[in-house]
Amino acid sequence: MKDVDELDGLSESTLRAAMRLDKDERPRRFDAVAIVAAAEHRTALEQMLRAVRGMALIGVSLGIEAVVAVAAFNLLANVDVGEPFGLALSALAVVAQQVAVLGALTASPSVAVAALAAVVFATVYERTNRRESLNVRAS
Amino acid sequence: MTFEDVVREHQDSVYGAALRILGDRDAALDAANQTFMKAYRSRASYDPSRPIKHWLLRIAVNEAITIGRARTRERARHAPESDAAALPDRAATPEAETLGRESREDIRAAVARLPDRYREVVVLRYFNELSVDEVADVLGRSSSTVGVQLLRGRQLLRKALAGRSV
Repeated sequence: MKDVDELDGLSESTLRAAMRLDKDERPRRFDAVAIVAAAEHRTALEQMLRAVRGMALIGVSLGIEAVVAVAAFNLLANVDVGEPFGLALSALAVVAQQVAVLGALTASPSVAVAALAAVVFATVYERTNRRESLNVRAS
Repeated sequence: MTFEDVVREHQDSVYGAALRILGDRDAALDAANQTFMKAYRSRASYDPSRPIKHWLLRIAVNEAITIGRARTRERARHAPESDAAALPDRAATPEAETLGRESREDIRAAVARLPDRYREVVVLRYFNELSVDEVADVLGRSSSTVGVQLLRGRQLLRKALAGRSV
Protein backbone atom coordinates (compact mmCIF):
# COMPACT_ATOMS: atom_id res chain seq x y z
CA MET A 1 0.00 0.00 0.00
CA LYS A 2 1.31 3.40 -0.94
CA ASP A 3 1.49 5.86 1.89
CA VAL A 4 0.43 9.46 1.62
CA ASP A 5 3.93 10.87 1.52
CA GLU A 6 5.33 8.81 -1.26
CA LEU A 7 4.74 11.55 -3.83
CA ASP A 8 6.91 13.88 -1.74
CA GLY A 9 9.82 11.51 -1.83
CA LEU A 10 9.68 10.76 1.88
CA SER A 11 7.92 7.46 2.12
CA GLU A 12 7.37 5.45 5.26
CA SER A 13 9.79 2.86 3.95
CA THR A 14 12.44 5.55 3.43
CA LEU A 15 11.92 6.76 6.97
CA ARG A 16 12.09 3.24 8.38
CA ALA A 17 15.27 2.50 6.45
CA ALA A 18 16.86 5.75 7.60
CA MET A 19 15.98 5.15 11.23
CA ARG A 20 17.30 1.60 11.41
CA LEU A 21 20.44 1.11 13.51
CA ASP A 22 23.61 0.71 11.47
CA LYS A 23 25.91 -2.12 12.43
CA ASP A 24 28.40 0.28 13.98
CA GLU A 25 25.65 1.96 15.98
CA ARG A 26 24.63 -1.10 17.92
CA PRO A 27 25.60 -0.78 21.55
CA ARG A 28 27.79 -3.17 23.41
CA ARG A 29 25.80 -5.49 25.60
CA PHE A 30 24.32 -3.72 28.61
CA ASP A 31 25.48 -5.13 31.92
CA ALA A 32 22.28 -6.05 33.76
CA VAL A 33 24.18 -6.95 36.95
CA ALA A 34 25.84 -3.53 37.08
CA ILE A 35 22.51 -1.83 36.39
CA VAL A 36 20.83 -3.71 39.25
CA ALA A 37 23.72 -2.89 41.60
CA ALA A 38 23.57 0.80 40.70
CA ALA A 39 19.77 0.86 41.05
CA GLU A 40 19.91 -0.72 44.50
CA HIS A 41 22.68 1.60 45.62
CA ARG A 42 20.66 4.60 44.53
CA THR A 43 17.56 3.27 46.24
CA ALA A 44 19.35 2.98 49.60
CA LEU A 45 20.81 6.45 49.24
CA GLU A 46 17.44 7.86 48.29
CA GLN A 47 15.72 6.26 51.24
CA MET A 48 18.24 7.85 53.57
CA LEU A 49 17.81 11.25 51.93
CA ARG A 50 14.04 10.96 52.09
CA ALA A 51 14.24 10.11 55.78
CA VAL A 52 16.47 13.12 56.45
CA ARG A 53 14.20 15.39 54.47
CA GLY A 54 11.09 13.98 56.14
CA MET A 55 12.51 14.51 59.61
CA ALA A 56 13.58 18.02 58.74
CA LEU A 57 10.14 18.85 57.37
CA ILE A 58 8.49 17.44 60.50
CA GLY A 59 10.78 19.60 62.61
CA VAL A 60 9.99 22.72 60.64
CA SER A 61 6.24 22.10 60.71
CA LEU A 62 6.31 21.36 64.47
CA GLY A 63 8.17 24.60 65.03
CA ILE A 64 5.62 26.56 63.03
CA GLU A 65 2.75 24.93 64.92
CA ALA A 66 4.40 25.68 68.25
CA VAL A 67 4.87 29.33 67.38
CA VAL A 68 1.25 29.60 66.21
CA ALA A 69 -0.04 27.89 69.38
CA VAL A 70 1.95 30.15 71.69
CA ALA A 71 0.81 33.23 69.78
CA ALA A 72 -2.81 32.06 69.94
CA PHE A 73 -2.56 31.45 73.67
CA ASN A 74 -1.08 34.87 74.31
CA LEU A 75 -3.85 36.45 72.31
CA LEU A 76 -6.62 34.53 74.04
CA ALA A 77 -5.17 35.11 77.51
CA ASN A 78 -5.88 38.79 77.18
CA VAL A 79 -9.51 38.27 76.26
CA ASP A 80 -12.02 38.62 79.05
CA VAL A 81 -13.95 35.45 78.76
CA GLY A 82 -16.79 34.04 80.71
CA GLU A 83 -17.08 30.82 82.58
CA PRO A 84 -17.92 28.66 79.50
CA PHE A 85 -14.54 29.44 78.04
CA GLY A 86 -12.68 29.00 81.28
CA LEU A 87 -12.28 25.29 80.94
CA ALA A 88 -11.28 25.48 77.29
CA LEU A 89 -8.75 28.15 78.05
CA SER A 90 -7.19 26.28 80.90
CA ALA A 91 -6.94 23.20 78.68
CA LEU A 92 -5.31 25.31 76.00
CA ALA A 93 -2.94 26.74 78.60
CA VAL A 94 -1.85 23.24 79.58
CA VAL A 95 -1.20 22.35 75.94
CA ALA A 96 0.58 25.61 75.30
CA GLN A 97 2.86 25.02 78.27
CA GLN A 98 3.93 21.74 76.72
CA VAL A 99 4.29 23.22 73.28
CA ALA A 100 6.21 26.18 74.63
CA VAL A 101 9.14 23.85 75.28
CA LEU A 102 9.17 22.98 71.59
CA GLY A 103 8.73 26.62 70.75
CA ALA A 104 11.78 27.52 72.78
CA LEU A 105 13.74 24.79 71.03
CA THR A 106 12.77 25.98 67.56
CA ALA A 107 13.57 29.53 68.56
CA SER A 108 17.19 28.51 68.56
CA PRO A 109 18.66 29.70 65.24
CA SER A 110 20.88 26.65 64.90
CA VAL A 111 17.88 24.27 64.87
CA ALA A 112 15.97 26.28 62.29
CA VAL A 113 19.04 26.75 60.09
CA ALA A 114 19.97 23.06 60.29
CA ALA A 115 16.44 21.96 59.44
CA LEU A 116 16.17 24.33 56.50
CA ALA A 117 19.64 23.39 55.28
CA ALA A 118 18.67 19.71 55.36
CA VAL A 119 15.54 20.39 53.30
CA VAL A 120 17.42 22.51 50.77
CA PHE A 121 20.28 20.02 50.51
CA ALA A 122 18.02 17.03 49.99
CA THR A 123 15.92 18.89 47.41
CA VAL A 124 18.90 20.19 45.45
CA TYR A 125 20.56 16.78 45.55
CA GLU A 126 17.50 15.08 44.15
CA ARG A 127 17.04 17.67 41.44
CA THR A 128 20.63 17.54 40.28
CA ASN A 129 20.46 13.79 40.05
CA ARG A 130 17.08 13.81 38.37
CA ARG A 131 15.69 11.74 41.19
CA GLU A 132 12.15 13.02 41.13
CA SER A 133 9.90 10.14 41.95
CA LEU A 134 9.28 8.12 38.84
CA ASN A 135 5.79 8.68 37.64
CA VAL A 136 5.51 5.81 35.25
CA ARG A 137 2.41 3.82 34.81
CA ALA A 138 2.69 0.42 33.24
CA SER A 139 1.33 0.81 29.76
CA MET B 1 11.89 -13.91 32.57
CA THR B 2 14.78 -12.42 34.57
CA PHE B 3 15.78 -8.78 34.51
CA GLU B 4 18.89 -9.82 32.61
CA ASP B 5 16.70 -11.38 29.90
CA VAL B 6 14.65 -8.20 29.70
CA VAL B 7 17.77 -6.07 29.24
CA ARG B 8 19.18 -8.41 26.62
CA GLU B 9 15.95 -8.64 24.67
CA HIS B 10 15.08 -4.95 24.66
CA GLN B 11 18.42 -3.17 24.72
CA ASP B 12 18.42 -2.43 20.99
CA SER B 13 14.88 -1.02 21.07
CA VAL B 14 15.56 1.13 24.12
CA TYR B 15 19.00 2.33 23.07
CA GLY B 16 17.92 2.84 19.45
CA ALA B 17 14.90 4.92 20.40
CA ALA B 18 17.06 7.05 22.69
CA LEU B 19 19.70 7.42 19.97
CA ARG B 20 17.19 8.53 17.37
CA ILE B 21 15.59 10.98 19.79
CA LEU B 22 18.87 12.43 21.02
CA GLY B 23 21.09 12.00 17.97
CA ASP B 24 24.09 11.33 20.21
CA ARG B 25 25.52 7.97 21.22
CA ASP B 26 26.85 8.90 24.65
CA ALA B 27 23.59 10.55 25.61
CA ALA B 28 21.67 7.57 24.26
CA LEU B 29 23.77 5.17 26.36
CA ASP B 30 23.09 7.31 29.39
CA ALA B 31 19.36 7.34 28.63
CA ALA B 32 19.28 3.57 28.11
CA ASN B 33 21.13 2.90 31.36
CA GLN B 34 18.79 5.24 33.22
CA THR B 35 15.82 3.52 31.62
CA PHE B 36 16.84 0.08 32.79
CA MET B 37 17.70 1.38 36.25
CA LYS B 38 14.34 3.08 36.61
CA ALA B 39 12.57 0.03 35.25
CA TYR B 40 14.32 -2.14 37.82
CA ARG B 41 13.52 0.21 40.66
CA SER B 42 9.86 0.59 39.70
CA ARG B 43 9.32 -2.99 38.58
CA ALA B 44 6.58 -3.38 41.17
CA SER B 45 4.46 -0.89 39.22
CA TYR B 46 4.70 -2.87 35.99
CA ASP B 47 1.44 -4.44 34.87
CA PRO B 48 2.40 -7.86 33.47
CA SER B 49 -0.78 -8.03 31.39
CA ARG B 50 0.67 -5.35 29.11
CA PRO B 51 3.71 -5.53 26.84
CA ILE B 52 6.93 -4.89 28.72
CA LYS B 53 8.36 -3.34 25.56
CA HIS B 54 5.79 -0.52 25.71
CA TRP B 55 6.55 0.10 29.37
CA LEU B 56 10.30 0.26 28.73
CA LEU B 57 9.86 2.50 25.71
CA ARG B 58 7.73 4.88 27.69
CA ILE B 59 10.47 5.23 30.28
CA ALA B 60 13.11 5.48 27.56
CA VAL B 61 11.30 8.23 25.68
CA ASN B 62 10.81 10.23 28.88
CA GLU B 63 14.46 9.78 29.82
CA ALA B 64 15.71 10.75 26.38
CA ILE B 65 13.53 13.86 26.28
CA THR B 66 14.68 14.85 29.77
CA ILE B 67 18.34 14.35 28.87
CA GLY B 68 17.85 16.19 25.57
CA ARG B 69 16.32 19.19 27.32
CA ALA B 70 19.09 19.27 29.90
CA ARG B 71 21.72 19.17 27.14
CA THR B 72 19.98 21.95 25.24
CA ARG B 73 19.92 24.11 28.38
CA GLU B 74 23.57 23.29 29.05
CA ARG B 75 24.60 24.18 25.52
CA ALA B 76 22.65 27.43 25.63
CA ARG B 77 24.38 28.34 28.89
CA HIS B 78 27.91 27.60 27.77
CA ALA B 79 28.06 28.17 24.03
CA PRO B 80 28.32 31.68 22.57
CA GLU B 81 25.21 32.67 20.64
CA SER B 82 26.97 32.39 17.30
CA ASP B 83 27.95 28.79 18.06
CA ALA B 84 24.51 27.87 19.30
CA ALA B 85 22.96 29.04 16.07
CA ALA B 86 25.30 26.98 13.92
CA LEU B 87 23.75 23.64 13.17
CA PRO B 88 25.81 20.93 11.52
CA ASP B 89 25.61 21.13 7.76
CA ARG B 90 24.84 17.62 6.68
CA ALA B 91 25.13 18.59 3.03
CA ALA B 92 28.83 19.08 3.67
CA THR B 93 29.38 15.44 4.54
CA PRO B 94 32.59 14.19 2.88
CA GLU B 95 32.02 12.86 -0.60
CA ALA B 96 33.50 9.56 0.40
CA GLU B 97 30.21 8.88 2.14
CA THR B 98 27.72 7.09 -0.01
CA LEU B 99 24.60 8.91 -1.08
CA GLY B 100 22.47 6.45 0.85
CA ARG B 101 24.38 7.01 4.03
CA GLU B 102 24.26 10.76 3.54
CA SER B 103 20.52 10.66 3.07
CA ARG B 104 20.09 8.58 6.17
CA GLU B 105 22.21 11.00 8.16
CA ASP B 106 20.15 13.92 6.85
CA ILE B 107 16.91 12.26 7.88
CA ARG B 108 18.27 11.31 11.31
CA ALA B 109 19.56 14.82 11.91
CA ALA B 110 16.21 16.26 10.87
CA VAL B 111 14.39 13.85 13.20
CA ALA B 112 16.69 14.78 16.08
CA ARG B 113 15.75 18.43 15.56
CA LEU B 114 11.97 17.90 15.55
CA PRO B 115 10.03 19.30 18.52
CA ASP B 116 9.73 16.70 21.31
CA ARG B 117 6.12 15.65 20.74
CA TYR B 118 6.68 14.93 17.05
CA ARG B 119 10.08 13.33 17.56
CA GLU B 120 8.64 10.85 20.04
CA VAL B 121 5.94 9.62 17.71
CA VAL B 122 8.18 9.55 14.63
CA VAL B 123 10.84 7.49 16.43
CA LEU B 124 8.38 5.04 17.96
CA ARG B 125 6.56 4.64 14.63
CA TYR B 126 9.50 4.40 12.26
CA PHE B 127 12.35 3.15 14.40
CA ASN B 128 10.51 0.88 16.81
CA GLU B 129 7.95 0.09 14.12
CA LEU B 130 4.98 0.34 16.43
CA SER B 131 1.48 0.84 15.10
CA VAL B 132 -0.30 4.14 15.72
CA ASP B 133 -2.36 2.48 18.47
CA GLU B 134 0.77 1.09 20.08
CA VAL B 135 2.48 4.48 19.96
CA ALA B 136 -0.62 5.94 21.59
CA ASP B 137 -0.44 3.27 24.28
CA VAL B 138 3.24 3.94 24.97
CA LEU B 139 2.83 7.71 25.18
CA GLY B 140 -0.56 7.72 26.91
CA ARG B 141 -2.13 9.77 24.13
CA SER B 142 -5.15 9.07 21.96
CA SER B 143 -4.61 7.36 18.62
CA SER B 144 -6.06 10.34 16.79
CA THR B 145 -3.62 12.67 18.51
CA VAL B 146 -0.74 10.41 17.56
CA GLY B 147 -2.02 10.24 13.98
CA VAL B 148 -2.10 14.02 13.72
CA GLN B 149 1.32 14.35 15.34
CA LEU B 150 2.77 11.81 12.91
CA LEU B 151 1.37 13.73 9.99
CA ARG B 152 2.71 17.01 11.31
CA GLY B 153 6.06 15.43 12.15
CA ARG B 154 6.46 14.18 8.61
CA GLN B 155 5.47 17.55 7.22
CA LEU B 156 8.20 19.15 9.31
CA LEU B 157 10.67 16.53 8.15
CA ARG B 158 9.82 17.14 4.51
CA LYS B 159 10.26 20.86 5.07
CA ALA B 160 13.62 20.33 6.79
CA LEU B 161 14.79 18.00 4.05
CA ALA B 162 13.50 20.08 1.17
CA GLY B 163 16.16 20.63 -1.46
CA ARG B 164 18.25 17.71 -0.26
CA SER B 165 18.54 14.53 -2.22
CA VAL B 166 16.54 12.27 0.10
